[in-house]
Amino acid sequence: MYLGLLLEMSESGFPDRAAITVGGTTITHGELAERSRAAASSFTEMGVPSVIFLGTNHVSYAVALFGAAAAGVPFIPMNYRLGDDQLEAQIGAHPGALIVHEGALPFHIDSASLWQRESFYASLTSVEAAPLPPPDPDLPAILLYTSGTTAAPKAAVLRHRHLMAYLFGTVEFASADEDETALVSVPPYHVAGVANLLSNLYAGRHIIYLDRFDPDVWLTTVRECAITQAMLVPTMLAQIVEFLRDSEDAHTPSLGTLSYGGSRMPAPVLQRALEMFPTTGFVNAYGLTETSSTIALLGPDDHRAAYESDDPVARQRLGSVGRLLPGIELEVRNEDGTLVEPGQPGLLFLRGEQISGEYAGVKLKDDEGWFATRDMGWIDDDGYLFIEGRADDTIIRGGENISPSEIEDVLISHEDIVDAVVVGLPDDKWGQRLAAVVVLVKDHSIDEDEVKEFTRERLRSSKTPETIAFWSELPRTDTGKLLRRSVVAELSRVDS
Amino acid sequence: MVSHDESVEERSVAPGSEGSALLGKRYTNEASTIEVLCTKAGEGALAMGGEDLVQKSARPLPSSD
Repeated sequence: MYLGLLLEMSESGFPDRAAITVGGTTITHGELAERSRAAASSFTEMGVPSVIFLGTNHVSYAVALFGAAAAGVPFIPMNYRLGDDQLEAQIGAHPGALIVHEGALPFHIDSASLWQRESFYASLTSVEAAPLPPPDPDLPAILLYTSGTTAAPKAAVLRHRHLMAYLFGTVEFASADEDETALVSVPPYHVAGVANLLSNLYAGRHIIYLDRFDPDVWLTTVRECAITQAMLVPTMLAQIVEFLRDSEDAHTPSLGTLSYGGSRMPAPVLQRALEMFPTTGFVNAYGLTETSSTIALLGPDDHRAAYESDDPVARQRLGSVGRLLPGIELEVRNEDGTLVEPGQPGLLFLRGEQISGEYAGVKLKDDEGWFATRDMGWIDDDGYLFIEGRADDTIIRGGENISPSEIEDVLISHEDIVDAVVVGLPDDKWGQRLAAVVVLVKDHSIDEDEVKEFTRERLRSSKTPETIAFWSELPRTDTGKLLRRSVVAELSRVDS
Repeated sequence: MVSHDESVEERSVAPGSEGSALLGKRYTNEASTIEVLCTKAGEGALAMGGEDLVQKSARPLPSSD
């Protein structure tokens, strides 16, 4: 159960199949295995304690990941778009690390060695390396920083055994046909990017990386390269739907599966997408960095059944993240640790072999192996899981727990509103009061009272925001997660 | 029987165990108390305690990646 086993199998099973294409360079499974061995031997010779990758998706990303894994040192893909101070602090937490990077670094680093990714990759062709002995499955394979929407980013520790448990539990070896091609637009430092790489290589599906996401380029690539599978975050799908707004069909007949995840999908975007991609199977994947990616999914049949149904319960499932993967256990608990009544919302606790639930130095699993996700959610009678958001985002107004997502969903359903966030601000009378920020459809207008009235009609007055601010966009991470911290900070600044 | 840290390079197939294990396929016994993943193809059928293991059919799980 070590990551390198994946390459040993793919190299022996289909060495000449294309593994990865990016920026015009294609590498086969045989070459990937060979170069990863060379990278492992380089890393071992240099004696580096960890390998940081800083840049966009590239063949050197996969090679550095598997090279570090085989050398038994953690691989740490970092968000190259972080601010200089934050990035410097993150790098500083890994003294002695080797940094494989794209372009020039924006600051000087004393504590690390640097290797420009193209020259790193080129150096590996001249090394004939023998395989190293397999590393201990309990070693950390990948340290992955969480997105830090509610607190400072933390490095989740994903050990070889966690990642391989995910892989063996969800993917069949060589299950992809030779002409299957996945177009990948998620960044390399996101858990979806890591899981995606492992799954597609193991399935034998050719990965094409899109360097920088653009809806026009994405659609053109899907058509020209006859892409069969693609993974997006919701903001990207929203851009594609917006780009296609006057078309009835996306004209992407090859696209068999479109999976999405990483943040909440707005219902109007998903419904439009289901119309525009009539022959594509949609998959919603839910998971956390700390759970080695996906733990529940809503499959293509679930999507179409919900989309075509008139039954409100069935239709609601379009907003569900689906059912748990085999081998994953879930408990929904109250704050005091007792189990909630069936169908009631509560805190989600997960257990299973792929669940790490561990940050550098801190284990968050209890003695029985349950990991507290801090996500709120509930399960319907048929086992479909619905996520309400982070427990830390819950607003407590006059003793009533209010989930912002419920109000945000109502706001976004208004025809003039494209994006919305609801946060709690400190209030002397109520403890917290509700403040909303909305983004309007281009060239549309609506006033504050209309928005409030629209919400009050559909919810009730205690769930109607007291203030509505109009912004041109909301602060989000690259993968579309709302930065609520920034919204609260900005509204508090304006307030005082 | 081979222990997990023992090299298997020199083993030969026992009489009665002719056959082969296929790369990447899962094998199980009738009671489903064990699942074996073949990570290296080779000669010899998989068996446990005299019972031949059978190949499991692939689970149809939609790809989420």
